[in-house]
Amino acid sequence: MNRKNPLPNSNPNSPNSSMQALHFLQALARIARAAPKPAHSARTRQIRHAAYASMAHSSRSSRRTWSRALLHRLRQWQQQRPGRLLTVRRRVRIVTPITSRPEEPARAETLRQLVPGGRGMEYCNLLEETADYVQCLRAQVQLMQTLLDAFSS
Amino acid sequence: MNCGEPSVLPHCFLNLNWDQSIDPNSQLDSALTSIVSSNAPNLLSQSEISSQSHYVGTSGTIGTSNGSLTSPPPELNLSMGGGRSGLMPMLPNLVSMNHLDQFQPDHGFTERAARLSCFDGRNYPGFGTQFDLASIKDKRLEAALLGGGQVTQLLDKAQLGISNVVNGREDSSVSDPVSGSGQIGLAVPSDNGVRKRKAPAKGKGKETQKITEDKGSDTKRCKSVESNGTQEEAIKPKPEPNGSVSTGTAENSNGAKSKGKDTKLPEPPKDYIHVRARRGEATDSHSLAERVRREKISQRMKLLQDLVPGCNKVVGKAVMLDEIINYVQSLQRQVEFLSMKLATVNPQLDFNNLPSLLPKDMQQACAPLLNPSFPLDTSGSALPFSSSQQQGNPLHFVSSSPSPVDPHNTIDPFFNAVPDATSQLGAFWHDDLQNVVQMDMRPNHEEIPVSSQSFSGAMQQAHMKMEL
Repeated sequence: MNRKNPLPNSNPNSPNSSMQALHFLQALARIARAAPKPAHSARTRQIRHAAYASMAHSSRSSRRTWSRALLHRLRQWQQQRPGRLLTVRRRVRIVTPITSRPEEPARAETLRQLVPGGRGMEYCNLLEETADYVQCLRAQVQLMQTLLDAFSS
Repeated sequence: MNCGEPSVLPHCFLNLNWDQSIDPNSQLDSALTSIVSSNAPNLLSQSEISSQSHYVGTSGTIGTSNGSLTSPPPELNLSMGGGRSGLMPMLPNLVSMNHLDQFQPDHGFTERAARLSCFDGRNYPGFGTQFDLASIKDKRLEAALLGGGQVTQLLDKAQLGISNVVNGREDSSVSDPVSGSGQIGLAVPSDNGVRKRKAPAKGKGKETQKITEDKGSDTKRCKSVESNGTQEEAIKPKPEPNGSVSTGTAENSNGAKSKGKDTKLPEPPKDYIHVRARRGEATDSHSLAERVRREKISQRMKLLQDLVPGCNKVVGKAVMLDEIINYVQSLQRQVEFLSMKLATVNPQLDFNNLPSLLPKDMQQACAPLLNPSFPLDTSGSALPFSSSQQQGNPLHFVSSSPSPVDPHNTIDPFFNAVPDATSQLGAFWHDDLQNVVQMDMRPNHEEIPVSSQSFSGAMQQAHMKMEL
């Protein structure tokens, strides 16, 4: 096998990445089949959502907190009307760092904002979720890159 | 020097070369010598000394008054170091006592136990036959034996013995005198200390807490066993009052060795998470839990370190956390960017034209993907793929699958059934997609396009910028 960069933990579970790829291709096909919207941004948004959805649906991550939070977030995004710049929220969510502890590093809050669902987790679990999220993200990026190259060559 | 007769015993005792002992034990040794010399006549008066049989082999010999001492210690590590050659000759005499049951649990026994503790663990000729170290079954004897030896190494084992004595013993008659003796074997046996400990040790095995506390206080009074003993023994009184789950862990930390020690005790299987109090660390339940948490966190940081490229050089949690955050942000930005690019590409992308886009070899691999009958779309609508049915098997798989697709059942055999694709495609697609299409590499593959080099995780963004 000619592996360019054998990444650690990159392929311990190939069915997961294949699941991910399959979902993404599927979603892409659906998007392509749909009436081509002229708005480039809308299509971008759709593809981005498709990417995150396929990430969340991969079997490796189905049990993870971040995948559930990501799906929830996706639903929120999709429910928003794309034309609106501002969304009127009935509830004002007070983001209080209830989970921050004194012994956590200062950047833990940033990490919580990055990783979906990170706000409700302890620091220890946050790290674990981050690892899984990074794995899935990287797989997704590689997948998209490959598709791009395939389609553009 | 080979004093084979009991009558020579005091001589042997007095001839001990205590100078060869290890420095930390020198204090102990000097105390032991004092005891030994003081009790030599008492010892001689004991008839058990004359009896020559396996002292250690029979676990019950420690004293029937001590009841059943059948708990098998895992190993008696009598590697007490130092040159205690002088003790060796006594060992067969003392060790081979088999009538210890006649021996009343008084301070004489304790002194003898203390003396035994000074013995070198080396297997001397003629000694090994009589004294099977490995067959020592009694932990208390072990404790007694170990107490005089290398305190640093064997103290925890003695602790184990004592803890077993204190915690595990149900027979009242057994525990107290032996625990007293064990304590004495542990700490510096002075006459006063012996008698002091005997009094509190009169309690039952049930009163473990009291005993441990007394023992702890007693050992604290003793001079020699300070550094290790007090810490080790102080562990016991503390966790026992704690009724929390951490008692399991604390108990284990008491029963098991501390990290710096070099004993070979097996860990008793328990339901709790095994936590070991390291040497020099606080041992209350809170700090133990904290330590467990910190270890978990460091474990996960190591995992992240492997995932995030470029983190190997960095040492320190703060900087690594920054790196991780940067990496996650960069990955998310890449996803956005790639989706934008895909959006521009996508209108041009017609899956009908996909075969023309891909090289001819890749079409063979993608043919199953392109098959319209394959239920890629769970919504049920067939994809407008060109049906280039070059593979019969996957299609057969596909068509036989029910339309409400169970992804795992259909996809996995599907992907496994994908026939050999070209090496070109295999080199082209990254590992993930390789697994997707299950391509097989041929040795003579064509030149890999430059874009495939972008698959390295860290280079992707740079590569995309270069593409622009």
